[in-house]
Amino acid sequence: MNVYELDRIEHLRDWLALSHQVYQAVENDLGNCNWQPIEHGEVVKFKPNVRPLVSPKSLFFSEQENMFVFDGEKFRETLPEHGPRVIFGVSACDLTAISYQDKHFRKDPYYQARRQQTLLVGIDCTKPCDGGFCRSVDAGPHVKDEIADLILTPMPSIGGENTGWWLICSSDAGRAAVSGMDLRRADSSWSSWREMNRRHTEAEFKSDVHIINGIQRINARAVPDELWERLAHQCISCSGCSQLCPTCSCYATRDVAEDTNMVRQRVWDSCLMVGFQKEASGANPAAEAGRRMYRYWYHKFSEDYVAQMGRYGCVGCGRCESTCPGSVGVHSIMEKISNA
Amino acid sequence: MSAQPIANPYLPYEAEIVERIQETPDVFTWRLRFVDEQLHQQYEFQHGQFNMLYQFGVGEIPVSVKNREQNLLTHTIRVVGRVTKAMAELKAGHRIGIRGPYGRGWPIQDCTGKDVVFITAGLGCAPAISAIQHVAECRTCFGRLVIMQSVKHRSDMLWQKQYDEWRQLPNTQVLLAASREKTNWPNWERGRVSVLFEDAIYDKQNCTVMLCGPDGMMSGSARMLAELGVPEEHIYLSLERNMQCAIGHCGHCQFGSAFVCKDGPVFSYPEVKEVLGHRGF
Repeated sequence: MNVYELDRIEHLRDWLALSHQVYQAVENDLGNCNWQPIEHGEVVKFKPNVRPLVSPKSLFFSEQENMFVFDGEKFRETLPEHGPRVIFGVSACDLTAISYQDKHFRKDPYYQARRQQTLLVGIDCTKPCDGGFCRSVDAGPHVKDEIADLILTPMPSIGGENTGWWLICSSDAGRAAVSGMDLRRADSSWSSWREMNRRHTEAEFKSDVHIINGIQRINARAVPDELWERLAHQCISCSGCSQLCPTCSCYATRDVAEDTNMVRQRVWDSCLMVGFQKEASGANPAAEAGRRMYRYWYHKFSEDYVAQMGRYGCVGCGRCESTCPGSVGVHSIMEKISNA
Repeated sequence: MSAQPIANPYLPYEAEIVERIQETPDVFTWRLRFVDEQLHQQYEFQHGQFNMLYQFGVGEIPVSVKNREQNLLTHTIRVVGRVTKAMAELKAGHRIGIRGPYGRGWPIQDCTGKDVVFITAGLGCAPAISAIQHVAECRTCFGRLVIMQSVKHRSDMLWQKQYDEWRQLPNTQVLLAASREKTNWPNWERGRVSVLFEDAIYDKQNCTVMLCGPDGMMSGSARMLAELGVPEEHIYLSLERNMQCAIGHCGHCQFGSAFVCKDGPVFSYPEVKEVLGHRGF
């Protein structure tokens, strides 16, 4: 594997911006952090260890998009058109979610049109983020080689000051993207430092007993229906959890007439909405809020999906907990079901 | 990085309504022909599969393929929602969009030499019609053919003539039940489909049972059949769910870890037994 030394992260970003549209998580004055395009030469500091409010999900699976148009003559697909892009500085949890959606949407032309044009630059986290539990669901804190094209990992700091970065080229596309860049080869010490860093970071995570117990209870079908129903009183069907969840992939379609064209659109949907499964006849297999809540968490933690998807549906980012206006985000739910 | 375009599975194909048959006040049948003649000739389906039917600018719905009759694709539709209400207004000569067929159909190929039992309720018989016809056309390829169909009122019964014809076939039994009928009629029982189970004659150890109807009717019937001695793995059910993509992407028909659209709509009873009894999936 090609590994290089890098003094400043922005140096790499600027190089990539020569030939790609680069997106990076940028903090605004309110402290919220969102994915924004960064042009070549732009002076925006890169801040490691941030958790953007949203994952990069919408850069691949658009919140709303047109699928096709019928113009009176024929059906014409409306694929997104993109030049090459870089998503820069993605943490392990979000990268794990992207690889999860890559599997789910492998035959989806809209998702793939964006995904195939995108280079992923991952970054190892060096401390747990607020509410994050990636370690407990095998999604972090370090980036696995197969889910990013390039990986940044910090060199040991001196007196709290970062002394530079190692740049790991983990795919052919990643290698090609930095070819021609003036980089020093790293000596072999990088991997033992990285491993030590990972162990130190993992040791700093808070207790995950409730997560582990909750997963066991969901899989043992040990959570009574009445408890789901009671917990669901806290759910106001705002769908914030599904919107922010980096692995949630449900969508609804709608057809609209625009002038002489018929357009098929799709928009994000959420299984926590009462009408999600409702059929035209009025039959609704999930009319009860408790059943919808069970369905949601079953999807995130059931072993039944591991065979298909290779992992749990949850990547431990904790965003559902921080956005939930009730108290049915992941930590609250897992606390309650593991103690029931 | 060069994008490798993949065939777009969401695009419908245009088809023309060649004939429209009003079956009952709220049920109609379309006979369709793809506008592209080559596509029309190539189109094949398995018994029990479905198509996505699209009305321009209104919406797209899953409808099981009833049959191919006189080389025309046949769909029978009940007017229940926004899209089917709009579809009911279309006349012969109008066009719609179709994509499909989708899903896993009935295991007809595994039924050779065995008794074949169909248990259906209401319009739930539509996904089974082509399979019944297949078994009816080759009575010697299979063992006994038993058809049990239930409706609410006798007047809800579609294709009565077809059922009467099947009744005349050798080694074949047609049993009908009406749950809300007050008077006794020849060839009809009063009650739900399960009242017919006692009269059905077939080899419980060497049969395939195919169920189609509401979830409750299917899970109740499957349970009773298992008690009567039919091995669970010989019982198949066709499920109905809200579907918007038909290819396992949109999530609406997710049923446990399966998608009804691509892993079903036909499942064996052991595959869905646990989840079927658990509302919400």
